[in-house]
Amino acid sequence: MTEHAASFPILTCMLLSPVVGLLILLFIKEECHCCIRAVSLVAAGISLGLAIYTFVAYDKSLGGLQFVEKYEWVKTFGISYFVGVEGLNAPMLLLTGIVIFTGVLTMWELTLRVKEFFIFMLALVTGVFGVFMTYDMFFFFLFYEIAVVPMYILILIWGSTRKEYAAMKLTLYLMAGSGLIIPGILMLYSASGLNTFNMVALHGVHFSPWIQKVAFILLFFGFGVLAALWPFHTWSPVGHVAAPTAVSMLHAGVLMKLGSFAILRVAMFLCPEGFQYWAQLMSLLATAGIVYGVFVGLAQTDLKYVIGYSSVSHMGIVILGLSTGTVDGLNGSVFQMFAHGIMTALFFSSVGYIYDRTHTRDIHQLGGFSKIMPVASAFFITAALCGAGVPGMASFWAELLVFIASVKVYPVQGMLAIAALVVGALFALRVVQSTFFNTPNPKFVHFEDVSPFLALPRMMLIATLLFFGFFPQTMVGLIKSAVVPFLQGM
Amino acid sequence: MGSCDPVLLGCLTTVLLPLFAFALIMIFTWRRPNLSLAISLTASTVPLIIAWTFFFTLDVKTPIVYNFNWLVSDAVKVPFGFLLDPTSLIMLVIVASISWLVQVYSIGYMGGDPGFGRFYADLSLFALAMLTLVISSGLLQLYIAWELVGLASYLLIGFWYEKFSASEAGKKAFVVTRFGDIGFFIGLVFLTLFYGSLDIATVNSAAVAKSMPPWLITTSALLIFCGIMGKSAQFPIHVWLPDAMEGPTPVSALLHSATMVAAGVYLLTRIFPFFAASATAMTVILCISTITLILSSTIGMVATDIKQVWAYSTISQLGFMAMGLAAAGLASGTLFPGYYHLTTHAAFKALLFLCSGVFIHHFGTNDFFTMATNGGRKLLIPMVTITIASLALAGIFPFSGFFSKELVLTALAHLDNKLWLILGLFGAFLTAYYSFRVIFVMLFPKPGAYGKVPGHVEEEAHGHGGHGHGEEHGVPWVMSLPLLVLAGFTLILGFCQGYLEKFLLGESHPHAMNYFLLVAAVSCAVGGIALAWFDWGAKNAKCVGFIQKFPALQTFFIQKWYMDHFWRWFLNTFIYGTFTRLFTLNDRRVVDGGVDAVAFSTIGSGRLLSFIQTAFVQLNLLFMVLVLAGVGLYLLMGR
Amino acid sequence: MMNVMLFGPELYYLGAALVFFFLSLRRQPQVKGDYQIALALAAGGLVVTTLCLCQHGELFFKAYRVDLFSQIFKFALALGLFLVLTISHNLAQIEERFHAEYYLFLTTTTIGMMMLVSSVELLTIYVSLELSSYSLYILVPLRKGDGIDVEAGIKYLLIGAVSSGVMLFGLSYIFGATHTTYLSEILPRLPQLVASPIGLLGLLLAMAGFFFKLSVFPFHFWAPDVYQGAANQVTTFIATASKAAAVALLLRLAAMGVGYGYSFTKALVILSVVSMTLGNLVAIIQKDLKRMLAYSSIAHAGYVLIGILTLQESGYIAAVYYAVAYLVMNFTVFMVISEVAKDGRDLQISELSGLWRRNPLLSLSLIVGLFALAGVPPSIGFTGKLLLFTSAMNQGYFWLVLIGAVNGTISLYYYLRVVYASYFTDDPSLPMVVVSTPTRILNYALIAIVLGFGVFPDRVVELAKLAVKSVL
Repeated sequence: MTEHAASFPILTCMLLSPVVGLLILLFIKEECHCCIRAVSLVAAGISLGLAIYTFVAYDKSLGGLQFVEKYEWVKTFGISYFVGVEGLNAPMLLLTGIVIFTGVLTMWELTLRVKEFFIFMLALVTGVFGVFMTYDMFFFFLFYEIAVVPMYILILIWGSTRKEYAAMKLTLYLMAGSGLIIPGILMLYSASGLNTFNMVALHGVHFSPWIQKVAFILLFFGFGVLAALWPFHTWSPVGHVAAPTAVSMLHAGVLMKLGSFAILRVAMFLCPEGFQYWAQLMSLLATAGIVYGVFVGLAQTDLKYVIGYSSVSHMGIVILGLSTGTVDGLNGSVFQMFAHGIMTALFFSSVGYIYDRTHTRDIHQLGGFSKIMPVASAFFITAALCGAGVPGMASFWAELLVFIASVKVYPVQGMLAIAALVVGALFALRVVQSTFFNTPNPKFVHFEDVSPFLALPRMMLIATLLFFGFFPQTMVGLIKSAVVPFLQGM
Repeated sequence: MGSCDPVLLGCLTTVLLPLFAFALIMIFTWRRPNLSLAISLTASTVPLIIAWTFFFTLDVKTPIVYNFNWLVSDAVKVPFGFLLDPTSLIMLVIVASISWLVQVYSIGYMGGDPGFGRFYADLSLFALAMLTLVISSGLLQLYIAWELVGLASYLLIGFWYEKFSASEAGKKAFVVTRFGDIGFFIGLVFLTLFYGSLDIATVNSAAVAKSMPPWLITTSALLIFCGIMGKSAQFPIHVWLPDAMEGPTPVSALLHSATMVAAGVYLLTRIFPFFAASATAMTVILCISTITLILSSTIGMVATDIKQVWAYSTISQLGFMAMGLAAAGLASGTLFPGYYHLTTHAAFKALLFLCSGVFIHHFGTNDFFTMATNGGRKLLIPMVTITIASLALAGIFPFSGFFSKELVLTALAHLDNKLWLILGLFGAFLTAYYSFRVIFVMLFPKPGAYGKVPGHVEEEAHGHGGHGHGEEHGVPWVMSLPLLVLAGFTLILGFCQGYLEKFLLGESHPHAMNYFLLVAAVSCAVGGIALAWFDWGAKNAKCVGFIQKFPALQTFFIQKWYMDHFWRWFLNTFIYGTFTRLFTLNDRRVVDGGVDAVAFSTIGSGRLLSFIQTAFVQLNLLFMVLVLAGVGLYLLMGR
Repeated sequence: MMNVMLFGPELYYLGAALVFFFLSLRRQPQVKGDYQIALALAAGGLVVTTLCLCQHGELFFKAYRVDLFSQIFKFALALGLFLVLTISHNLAQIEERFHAEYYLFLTTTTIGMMMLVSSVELLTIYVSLELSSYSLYILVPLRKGDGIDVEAGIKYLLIGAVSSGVMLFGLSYIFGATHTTYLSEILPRLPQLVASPIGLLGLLLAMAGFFFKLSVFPFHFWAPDVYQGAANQVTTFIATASKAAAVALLLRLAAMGVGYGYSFTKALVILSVVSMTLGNLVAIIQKDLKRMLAYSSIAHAGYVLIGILTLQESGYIAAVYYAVAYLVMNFTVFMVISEVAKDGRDLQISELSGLWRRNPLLSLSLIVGLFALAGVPPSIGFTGKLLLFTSAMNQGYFWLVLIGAVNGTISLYYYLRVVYASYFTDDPSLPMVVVSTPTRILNYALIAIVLGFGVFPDRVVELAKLAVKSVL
């Protein structure tokens, strides 16, 4: 993989802007909410701007790793600070930027322990950015954990239903995942004998088949937990339900992508033979997740549970795409990571708005919200339709690619996954109908609609969905520029 | 690229204007009725003009094709483009005209509705989707438009979302059609993987037969037909269309009779050669469409809701078109009969709905018996036009329906097995009967005589409640104008047969008039009307359908052949009853339970181990020494 | 003169001990004054150890080796003593007339440990070990109160006595097998030593003393009771400084075994696995904070063993890094405890509730400390643990690493319970906690160290590398 050094440490800035914001927040008074919000918004805005810049400025024709920065960190153990951008992680960085920015805007009305909230949120985002941009396994894992752990605190303080249980479950579950990741990573590290954590360098090593098999399965399950891989998904609905709005957005929108991205970036990248060996299993689990998610979601009555299970299903699509190991499949699945991220963020932000007003998410108590708050419900309905795979939205293309690829490679799984679309549609529309249609619940008629300011973040998300829905090539072309060499390397 | 090319420019405008209209209204002007109306009307007038100019000026002997890359992945390449050939041009004209008429009509019909702006936004969305579908150059693009059309129909059916039945109907429509679309999609995937191209021209070329084994062609053809079944409401997934009548009547006229549901048949004609390549597929299609024809016309005989009647008649006519096409495919005929019937049907069925719309609007009820007793015939223009339309539907000379039906029956007659022909004729007979049942009841109402009619309740007033304007008299011109225009079409289209055939196939060969068939058809139609007359029209009519004689059959028809029951049962038993329940249980008990069990057992083991730590020091010391001894022994052994 | 510099730290602390001895003779104790003197002396000790950092040489007929390794650990010990004294400003649990003794015995035990880290001769090792231990035996029951301290003291004494007995027994075997007590001379004979049953057994038994200090299974029984029973400050010292000393000596012993002791490491693997698993599992159900930390220390002893049993340079580096890291992060937690429990009582986890309101800074350092102990990044705990696992994996101990990683997850559970109590429950009845400015600074410093060296570990690692090199 060719590397083009950065003239200006743009990635480091992207990584540090939340950190700096965090440090500033530490010294702002708790009472001064406006400053706190402003600071965190600026921090998020800067990283968003840089993310957009990298997304646009990445030179497809040149390819390879760009904006690379590389410094020795711990010589004795071969740790180096090594960040870069290519077609695979540029969309992810963009996604993170968008979601955190809109997330901050969404939490504008927060009043409880505001300072701590934004501190932990920025910490989390730092981790996420780090994971997406780093090419050193040590830092990869370090950022991975940084991204995961603040969830505990965020859910516990600002969460809602059964938060103690949910937070503890989520954290331990993910940590158990890392319990598998550490041996996996270290296996590759020690087996390479290069005494380096540099993934690009390790990619060059040809590990013996059995090491690849063991390491791959360890990493696959370890990261799969975070990607809500069936049957390790049960933390995710519970977690989503408990978490506060912006955290759900970040979590479902970005964190779950960490898992799938890591499977791609570490597991598949370093153990191609292991991947070949386990691909069938991957596709089976993924399909199970897709089908299972929609059916279970059909029985839920809590809006967030519904969304939680829909993301289980959609993440299944991502994994299925990865398991095909074809250009189409990988394009689709990376695109799906992006699209689903935006979509779920939209879902949760609109649900959050309604929940903050009504304090219930039971779809039987809600109803007729299209009459009470047409704009707010328009947002949710858009997200739901996107989830149902309606064309014109980004996720349509992603799913299209994944499905075609999967039918080619695994006909049975592929068709099952496609068939699940019907139930998916039923499930989305069922929620929409019972929440937003029918006669309004008199309890809620007095609520006013979204203010333009609060509508802004949702608008941004929808705009993103539509933009990439109408111009998919802007995304697919970029992803493809990395996927093709990636697969040739395998 | 040729942005200077007027044709391309025209196509782009046709597609993009409605899109902009939709966006504009949805984002900015949805609270302002008049502005939204202005935007939407402009966005539908321009395509109308373009469509007609294309139709008359454009020479499409050799199809005009534009293709641009939309998405280029590895094996998947999605072009965005336009294909202008006779088939698409005719449909383009139909869609553009009817959607324009309906938009005009809705000014009166939807006037004062709180969701006026939203209504026009959705109509524009539909126009966008439908126009794209018609002139799209590739099947995948067509599929995308196809899905968008479904979305528009979902939104429009559930337009009055406060009504549970409406939102329910919208959901049903979307899910059921999606059910079919899955097949369509898989079919397309097959084509992509095994044939490699979804370009309509290439798919229609003879190359397919060479590059794909027959069984694969049959499979993909049938899979694609699943989509058609969904969209064109063919048995057994026709159940959504009758419910779709919950939407505003203009919507029913536009989407659920004239254009959208015809999209299925249009697709059938679009890749007719491909379908024709597999006789098996064609036979299956023939059977299904025939069943549909009979089933729906029998139900139409007993419906009391005027829109239901026309809904079922739509289903049956769609079946009839499909029959015509399938027959042509089997007997190596042309796609003209089916397509011609589609054209004429679009005109008179839209007319029927719009007329009924006037009545519904006027009397605030959907029950045509109530309309009749409240003096429906006093509304002159609608009454006349609806009669004309019914005559066309029944297939009476010189109305358009006569000619098109004649052609379809001729196509059926070419089949060796005459059973199809007989069934077709029977369908024609039933059609005539149920349509004139409505007409006679409206023309010669017998107040109080309808008590015995099953399903009819005196003085019921549902429909879109609150939209009845019983007090004001006369019909606003915006509503009557479209009626007259459509009536005009219904009258003239019949005589355009030769011209259209020439336009479509390049040459028109005068048909050898099959006099037996002619007589048979006409007698069927007249017979049906006569029967209707004796049942409903005549002075001393008993005002009960002849079907009353067979109670079992009647209830069977009234229950719509129990199709709804079947699907409801299917849904409850399998989807909700089996999978959802089992999976949810599994999720709670097995998967999640397992996780929690692990956690608790960990804590439990901690509690257990803590017993080693006792207050008795001597025990601790003993333990210490023992362990040490054990390790020592292990070392000595392990050497 | 040169020798004086070599023996500098020990001499300095000897002097300090004398000072305290005289202070303890006065009839009227001046608590404040004594404290200031003690603090000043400890600070001075820091300076002295820093000055002597680069000394190297041998003393007392080569029985006493001064090299970078030992000096670093001496510095660490001095630091530990100083830190403990900084939080000793309110010795509520120790009668005022005993304060001088408290300082005295802390100093003597420090001396013992300092001698421990540089002694390379079996008997010297033994003597210094005992010196450090006995002072602790006295320190534990110094706490005024309800007898629990006495029980703890006795238990500590008994177990300590037995393990040192066992150790002596082992040493005698080694002597019998090799006819020498000098490690440097035992070294070349090690192969046949390991080959012979006696030698093998001898080595194992000799380890007992250090296992006891390190509270490795099965020598861990004293830990819970002592941690709970002793005064907070004493516990802090036991939990931080004495562990570091034990690690140091274990490393010194193991350093000789580089490349040998194949079957020997098996035993260590077993012990480390058992102690980390047992420690973590039992810690889950503890209610008393100090008791919980006692079990967690057992688990951490298991982690440190991982580094030692690799018998590789990288492993030792990791172990040194981890020992220092453990000193810092454990101290952070204990500092919070003794600040919150002003009256020196044993803190129940529930008593931490609402700490985020009662004193945000303390709660922050508590979270940092606990997450560091749990091995959550970015913290020295995480980095240290990862380095340990890396070196273990390099030696092919796949299962050991897997178990260790899983243990990390388990441990997170009980640390999170404390975080939960301090951050998310709130009990208005509990009073605010006020801390003096020095303590605030100390807090910031500790947080900075824990996080900073977690993200930028290079310096520490390089230092540890040099130290280990000087031993090998």
